[in-house]
Amino acid sequence: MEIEVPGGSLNPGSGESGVGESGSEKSFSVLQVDLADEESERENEKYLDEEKEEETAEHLLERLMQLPYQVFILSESGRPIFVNSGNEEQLCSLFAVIGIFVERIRLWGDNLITISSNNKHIQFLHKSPLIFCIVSKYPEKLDEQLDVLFEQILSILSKSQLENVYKKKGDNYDLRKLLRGTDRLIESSVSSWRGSPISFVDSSISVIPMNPSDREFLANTMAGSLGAAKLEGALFGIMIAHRQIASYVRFKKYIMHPRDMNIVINLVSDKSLQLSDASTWTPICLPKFNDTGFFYAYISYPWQSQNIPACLVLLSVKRDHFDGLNEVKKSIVEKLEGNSKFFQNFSAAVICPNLFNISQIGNFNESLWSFIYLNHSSKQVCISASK
Amino acid sequence: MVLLGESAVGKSSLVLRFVKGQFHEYQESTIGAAFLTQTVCLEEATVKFEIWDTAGQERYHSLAPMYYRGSQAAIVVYDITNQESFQKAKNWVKELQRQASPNIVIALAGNKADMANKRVVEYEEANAYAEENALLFMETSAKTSMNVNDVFMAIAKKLPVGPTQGQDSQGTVDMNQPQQQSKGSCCK
Amino acid sequence: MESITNPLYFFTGSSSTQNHSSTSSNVIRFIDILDFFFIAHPASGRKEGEEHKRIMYFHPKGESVDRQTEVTGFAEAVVNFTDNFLTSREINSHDSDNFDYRTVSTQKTEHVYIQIEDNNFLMGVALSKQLANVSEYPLFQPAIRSILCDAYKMFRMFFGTYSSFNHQENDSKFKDRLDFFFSRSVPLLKCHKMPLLDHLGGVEFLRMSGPLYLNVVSLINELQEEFQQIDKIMFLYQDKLLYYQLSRRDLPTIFRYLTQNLLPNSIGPELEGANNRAKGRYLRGPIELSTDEPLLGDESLPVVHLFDNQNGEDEYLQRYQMLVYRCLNSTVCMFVKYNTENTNVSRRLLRNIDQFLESELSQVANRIGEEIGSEVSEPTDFHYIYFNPSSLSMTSSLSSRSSSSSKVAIPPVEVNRLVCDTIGKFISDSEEFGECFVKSETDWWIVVKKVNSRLLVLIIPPSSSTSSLADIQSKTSHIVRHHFDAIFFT
Repeated sequence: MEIEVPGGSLNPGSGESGVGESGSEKSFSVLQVDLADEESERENEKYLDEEKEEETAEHLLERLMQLPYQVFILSESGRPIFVNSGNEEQLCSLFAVIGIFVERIRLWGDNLITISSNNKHIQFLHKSPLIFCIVSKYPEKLDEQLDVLFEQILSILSKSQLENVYKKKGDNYDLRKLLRGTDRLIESSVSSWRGSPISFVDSSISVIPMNPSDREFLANTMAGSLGAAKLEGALFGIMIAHRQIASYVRFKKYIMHPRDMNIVINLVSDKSLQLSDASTWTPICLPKFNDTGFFYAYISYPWQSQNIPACLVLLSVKRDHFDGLNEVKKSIVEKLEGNSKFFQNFSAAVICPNLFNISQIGNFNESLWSFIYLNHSSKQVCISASK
Repeated sequence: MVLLGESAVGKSSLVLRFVKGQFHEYQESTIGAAFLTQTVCLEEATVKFEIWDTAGQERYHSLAPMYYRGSQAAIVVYDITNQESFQKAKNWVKELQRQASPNIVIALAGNKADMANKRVVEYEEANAYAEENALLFMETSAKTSMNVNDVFMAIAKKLPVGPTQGQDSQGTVDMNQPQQQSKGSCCK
Repeated sequence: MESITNPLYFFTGSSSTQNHSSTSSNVIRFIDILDFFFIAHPASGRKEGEEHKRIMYFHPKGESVDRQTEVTGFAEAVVNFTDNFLTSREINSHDSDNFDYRTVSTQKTEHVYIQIEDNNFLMGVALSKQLANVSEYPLFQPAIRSILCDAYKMFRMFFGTYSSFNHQENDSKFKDRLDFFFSRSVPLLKCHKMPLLDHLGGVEFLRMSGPLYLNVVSLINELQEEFQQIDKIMFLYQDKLLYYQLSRRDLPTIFRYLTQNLLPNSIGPELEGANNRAKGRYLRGPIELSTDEPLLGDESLPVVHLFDNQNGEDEYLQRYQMLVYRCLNSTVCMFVKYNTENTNVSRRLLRNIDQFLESELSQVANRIGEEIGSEVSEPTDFHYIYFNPSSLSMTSSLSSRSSSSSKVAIPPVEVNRLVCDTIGKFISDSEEFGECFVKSETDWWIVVKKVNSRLLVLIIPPSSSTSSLADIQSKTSHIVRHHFDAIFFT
C-alpha cells in the first residue's frame, strides 16, 4: 500500500505495507450495474404530486435570475433533465431553445461553445446523449464547470448505462426517472466548485491543514488497516472533512484523478450521509478511472455524535465488501482513538480547520501577503491565510 | 433486516424513528443504502437489529438483492396516499418471495397513516392482500410514531430464537453466500 | 439610385488600399477573415413563410436565401434567449451609442450581433477562426464589436439612421442604400493586428506647445466670428487632431473617415503640384470658385449627419454640409447646418472662406510645421498603446497611421492575443486604477497601467536586461518618465 501524504511529509515510502502487494498484481475489473428492465407504467404521474404549488414560467424565471448562476441539463431531443431551481417542467420552452441552438450550429458543421452579452456568459457542452448549459455573471472556467456536471451525472449512472438507456428507451426517454433524488448532488457539485477558492486551479484537491506527523500517523493507520484486511479490490481510503482531504491512501498502481476525488467529496458531503452510528454502501462511478463501471463506496462519519465532521470513505470494486470494510473502519477508528494525543490534534484540526500559515514556507520575504501551492503531480493545493 | 419500497414512501423516516426516535419533515432521499443498528430488549432476549435502509429509486433496483439476500426479515413500505407505491410494494413482495431466503419474514407497512385525509389505499385492501400472502401488516406513521416500534417488534417475535440473535454479522447480508445471477443485473 | 446625388467619394477603391500597403503589416483586411455580415429588421420577417424578409443586407452576396434566413434567425433567437437572463435594467440600457450586443463563439467562428435604433435592427458579423489564424489575427470579441459599431456609425453619418428610411413602405430604397454603402465599405475595412486599437477606437492628437495651440484656437474663433453659418469646426495637422467642436459620439467616425479615406486620396494630387502647396484648396466640392453658379451634381457639397445638442441636453442627429479645406498639411473641416428650404453653402461663401483662410491658415500651418519638425522622436525599443477615454486621445506604435515608430518588430500574434486577454480579464472597465505585469511564454513582457482611467500598455520584447519582475518594474518607470511624463502621471 502506497501512501500519499498530502501537504506533509516528503517521505511517503514509509507506509508501504507488504499486504498491499497481493492485490497489486491483478487488475481489477469494475462491476457493472445494469438497469432494471421493467419499467413502471405510470411512472410519469408521480412527479406531478411533488410540485407543491404551480408557479408561472415568468415568475420562476425571475426567481431563477436572482441566483448567481443557472444550470440546465437536457437530452439531445431538448427534454428537460435538470435546472438548479427545480421545476424544470415549467421551463421546457427554454430547454427546447438550448437544444435547438446546439442542433442548429451542429447542422452548420460546427459546435456551439458560448453565447454572451454585456454581463451574462452562457456556456454550452454537448456530450451525447446530453446537453449542458450554464448561465453565469462571470465567464471564468465555465467550460470546466460543465465538465464537472457531466462527470457528476456519469458518477450516478456511468457512461455505458447513460448511453444504453437512450438506446433502449428512445431519444424521448425522461432521464429524471433514473436520476431521481440526485438533484442536490448535481447542484452541490457546481455550487461547491464555484464557492471554492481554488476553482481557478484546474482540477485540484484542497488539503486540510494538519500537523505533518499527525497526517502521517493517520495515513499509516488507514493503510495498515486496509492492507491487513486483504480485501482484493478495495483500492482507496480517504479521510475527508469540510470538503478537504485529511489523508488519502491507495493501492499501488491505482491513482484517483482529482476530478474523481471531488466527485467522492461531493457525494460524502451530502447531508443525508452525515448520520451518526450509520454507514452507507453505495455504487459510484468514477469516470476518470473507468466511466463504464462502478466502485462501491463505504461511507461513514465515525465521530458524528461528537460533532467531529470527519468522514471515512473506503472504495472497493467489489459489491460484497461491505462487511469487510465495516471491519476496516472499526479497526481504523479504534487505532486512531487509541492514540489520544493524535486524536486530540486531529479533532481540533478537523472541527475548526485553520488555513496554512505564511510562516510555514519560511519568513524570507516580509512582503509576502499570501501563497497558493499546487503540487502538479498530486494536484493537491494548499492556500495560506493572508497576512 | 432490509427495508424496501418505492422512493419517498418513508423508509428512512421509519428507520430513524425506530433507531433514534427522530422525525424530519424533509427527509433527504437515501443514497445507495444506509446501514444502521439498534439493540432492543424483548422480554427475555436481547435483539440486535441490523437494518439496511435502501434507496427506492429505479437506478438502485438491481442492487436490491445485495441487501435482501441473507436478510432474515424485510419491511416492504408503501405510502397510503399513493396507489402507485402500493403497486410497487406488491412487486417487491413478489420479488422477495421468488428470490430471497425462503424463511424470510416479510412485513407490509402502509406509512403516512397520519395523512388519512389523502388516503387512496384502503386499509381493508392492503390487509386482505397481506393475509393472502401471509405478511405481517400494519399502517404506520413515522411522523406520529404510530405502530413504528410495533412493526419492528412484531418481526422480532416472529424470528426464530436461537444463536443467530445478538450476534454480529447475522441477520444481515450474508456475503459468503454465492450470488445468483438475478434477472436484469449483470455482474462481471 | 437616383437620389444619391452627393459625390460619394468615400472609399474610392483600390488606390487607398495601395496607399496603405507599405504599412499593411500592422493591419489585415477585415474581408479576409469574414464569414458573414448582415443587417436585419426582425419585424419584417414575423410572418410565417416570410422570414427572409427580415434580411436587409447580407454578405457574401452569393449565399442562399435559406442560409441567410437561418443565420439571421439564429441571431434573433440568441438575442431573445439571452434577454431571459437579463434584468430589465440591463436590457434597456441603450442610451447613446453603447449598443446592446451578443457574442457567439463556436469551434470555428466568432459572432457579434448588435441591436441598434431601439432594438429595431440587428447587425451581425461572423469571423472565421481558421482564417484569422492564417492572417495571424488574434480574435478579440470587443474589437470585433467596435468594428461592427463603427461600420454602422459610418453609414449613419452619411445616410442617417436606418429608421429614417421608413423601410416598411420602401424596403428597396433602404436595401439599395445599404448595398451601395456596405458593398463598398466592407471590402475596405481594416483590422489592426493589435485588436485593442480597434476596440479603444481613439483618435491621435498632435502634441504641441501652449502658445501654438492658442494660435490655432484664435484662428478658429476668428473664422467662426467672420462666418457665423459655420456651426462646428475640426482642425487636423497631417493625420493628427488639434482641435474639435464635434460630439464625442461622432469624433472617431469622422476622424477615421478623414484620415483613412479622404486625406490619403487627396495627398496624391498635392504631391504632384508641389509648387502650389502653400495655396489652400477645398478637397471636395467645386474647383471653380469665381462664378456664382449653383452647386449641383458633382460640385455639390457632401452632407453628413452629426449629433448636436444645442437645444438641450439630449443629442439629436442634424444634417450638415461638410467643407474640407486643406493647406500645407493642415486641414480645416467646417460644418454648416443643412436645410432643404434655406439657401445653403454657396460658391460665394466658399470663395470668401478661401480668401480668409488662405493667408491665415498657411501662417499657422508653417509654425506648426516648424515646431513639429524640430522635434525628432527617437524610435523606441518597445511598443506602446496609450488611451485617455475622457479625451479619446490615443497613440500607439502599433497603429497603422502611426508616425511614432518603434525599432521593435510587430509582436507575434500570441503576444497580441495575450495583451487583449490581459486587458479583458485583469483590467476592469469600471475601475479607474489598475496595474498588471504579464510575461509571455516567449519572454515578452506586457505591462498595463491604468491611472485615472488613462490606460498605458507597454509591450516589451525579450531581452537579457528584463528577466525579472524587478527589472521590468524599473524599466517601466523609466519609460513612463521619458515618454509619457506629460500625459501620464504616476
